[in-house]
Amino acid sequence: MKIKVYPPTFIKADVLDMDNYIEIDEGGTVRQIYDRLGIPVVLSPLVYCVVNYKKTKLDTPLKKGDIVSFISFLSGG
Amino acid sequence: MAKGYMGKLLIVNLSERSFREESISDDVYQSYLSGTGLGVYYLYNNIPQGTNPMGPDNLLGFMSGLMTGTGSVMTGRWSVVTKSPLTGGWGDANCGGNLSIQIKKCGYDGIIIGGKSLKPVYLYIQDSTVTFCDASHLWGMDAIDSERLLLEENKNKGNTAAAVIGPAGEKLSLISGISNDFGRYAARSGVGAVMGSKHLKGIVLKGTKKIESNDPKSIRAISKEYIEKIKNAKLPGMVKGSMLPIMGHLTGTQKTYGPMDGMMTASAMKKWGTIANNTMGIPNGDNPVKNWGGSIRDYSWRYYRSINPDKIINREIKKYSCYSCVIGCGGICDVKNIDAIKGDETHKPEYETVNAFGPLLLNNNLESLFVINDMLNRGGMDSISAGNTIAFAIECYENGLIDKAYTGGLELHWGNVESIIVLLRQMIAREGVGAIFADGVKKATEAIGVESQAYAMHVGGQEPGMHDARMDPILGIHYAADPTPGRHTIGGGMYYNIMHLWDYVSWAPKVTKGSNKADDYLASDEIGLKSAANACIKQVLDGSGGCFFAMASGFNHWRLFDYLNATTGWHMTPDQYMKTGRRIQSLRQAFNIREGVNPMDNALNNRLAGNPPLKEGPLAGKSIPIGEMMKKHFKYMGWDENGIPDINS
Ligand code: SF4
Repeated sequence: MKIKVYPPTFIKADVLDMDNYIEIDEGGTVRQIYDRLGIPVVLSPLVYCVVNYKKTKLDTPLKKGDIVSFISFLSGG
Repeated sequence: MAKGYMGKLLIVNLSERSFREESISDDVYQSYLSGTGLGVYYLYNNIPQGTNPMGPDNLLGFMSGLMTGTGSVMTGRWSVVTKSPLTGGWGDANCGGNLSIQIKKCGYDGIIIGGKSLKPVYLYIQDSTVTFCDASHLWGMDAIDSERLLLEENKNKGNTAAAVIGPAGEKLSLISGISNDFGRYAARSGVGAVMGSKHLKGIVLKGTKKIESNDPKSIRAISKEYIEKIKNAKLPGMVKGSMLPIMGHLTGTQKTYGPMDGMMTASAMKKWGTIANNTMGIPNGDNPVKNWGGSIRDYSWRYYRSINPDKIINREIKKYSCYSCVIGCGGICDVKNIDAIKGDETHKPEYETVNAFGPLLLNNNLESLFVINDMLNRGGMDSISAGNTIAFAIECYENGLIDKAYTGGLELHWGNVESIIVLLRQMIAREGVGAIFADGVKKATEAIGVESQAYAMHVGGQEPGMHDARMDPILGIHYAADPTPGRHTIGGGMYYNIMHLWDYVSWAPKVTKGSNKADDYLASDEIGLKSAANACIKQVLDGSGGCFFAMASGFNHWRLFDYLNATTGWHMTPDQYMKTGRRIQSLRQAFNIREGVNPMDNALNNRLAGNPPLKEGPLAGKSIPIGEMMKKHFKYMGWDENGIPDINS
């Protein structure tokens, strides 16, 4: 199934397609997204990841159409 | 049918001490929205060509937003519109606070003030009644004390708002602004000087009218969805300000970019506000240093650690939000132990102020930044323009164009905070050498001489915001090609990546993962399309009363087009709204052309465009072909290659 991912701004994220989608198995979890992006799970308290804009556990299964977003910063003022 | 707007303007003549209402037709709202759009429509048709900006024929408009007060969120911004004495062309300034809702509650979408009072005056507007009140006792008083006194005098019972000028506006400084809510500023375009020229110290508004819209239920539903997401957007406590330079560095060194999720950046706005950029933008070159000629080599960690945003929010005692805001990027800080500040509390300094008086001047004294922020808020001067002007003065001094005799004894060295504070005080009071610098960089070059132009960082007379176009070239297009030049809040490449406009607007180029940063430095059709999209949507935003940071959270979250249709019942497509934005932008540009502004004269100067490029730091080697980029922008705005629009097409 396809999941949309907004990776941290500082990650290359080669595993995502042009539109930021990643293909994972049915029942795949946020932990799998970390693995595929190459983000060590120990960094999870820092990289602040939400699913559909809600806090979630690493082992919660994802559903088709979910949006997984990681911390990102924007220069602006 | 209710459509969110009030359907009329209040027109005041200070010379005659008269006022009247003017109804505006539905067609005009559908063509120009409200806010800045309605403002430019009215002023273009009612300010005679060649009007002296400081004369009685100039008009000064306080404009609300189409969506203000409708149950929408992030829509409490107001605009001041006028002919700018700083640029000689179109002038506007956008502001938060609590004034916008009172304009509408008085029954109007805008208050347009012309003429000139013989004596200092303030207006007390209660619904549709206007009282001309003596303001002699307020003349000379700072903006914060003036607002407090005005609210007391007019028995503030909660639903009253006031906008005032400080001494800088009274003394006609071309870089003065208009304050509301004790230090939230409509600061740009010299709007404070226009108010001062009319001897108008302030306006006080108290309204009771209801604001109705077409489909309040849908508006509430859109708001609810957004509020829910914003509530959940919380940075973990482990994310500290000291990490921001690393984030900035990592972001800056990426060779590619992709679409971003604005809701994630909103969490940093909630935690720190704009000051998150204090240290993030130094390692990636976003923050100008040493009058735009330096870099992190000049303002290294040893310096910038002092402006770590955590050190600023350590003083924050409560969050501050403009009307209907759910992000709350502002803050009120405890400054009891800073003797140089009058009072116990002050607005948290914004990033623009911190950078304009910090890295730009090589000053790393944090306490001085609180003092300077308070001086600017009380004095009523634009922090961006004032900081750029002092940077210019220092560079002139360091290079021997002016000396101690010229400055009245001030040693204007980089980072000399005592001299910086004295010069700022003199600029606000228009005293001593401050009189030379009180009107901004461009005017000061006329006094100092042609050699000083190399150090004069302005665009078409207005000093640029604290973001470097050599890092974000699309930002540079807006600095140069917007009818109010030098403005950082029109748009930029990074903002484009976050807005997701391409999901709604047929012609807005889609951003995909792996987009090449180097391509942003080319005068391509894609860059022209993106900058045109930024310019059009910004006018839709300002017509609506929306906050720039709502836009920066992305239209996939803050559903502006749905909001507008629910408010008005127009059922317009995003493409149609963009056409409206283009119409407004074209009229702002046409105002400039009519007043003799040549758009190509507003191209960035050599240093701002990286010509020659910096030799060190994150922007080493970067330059932007600004003239060619402007032409691409004009092309996709539908203007000719010299930037001249055909407003009849
Ligand atoms: S995000 Fe900041 S500027 Fe925007 S409305 Fe809220 S408090 Fe005002």
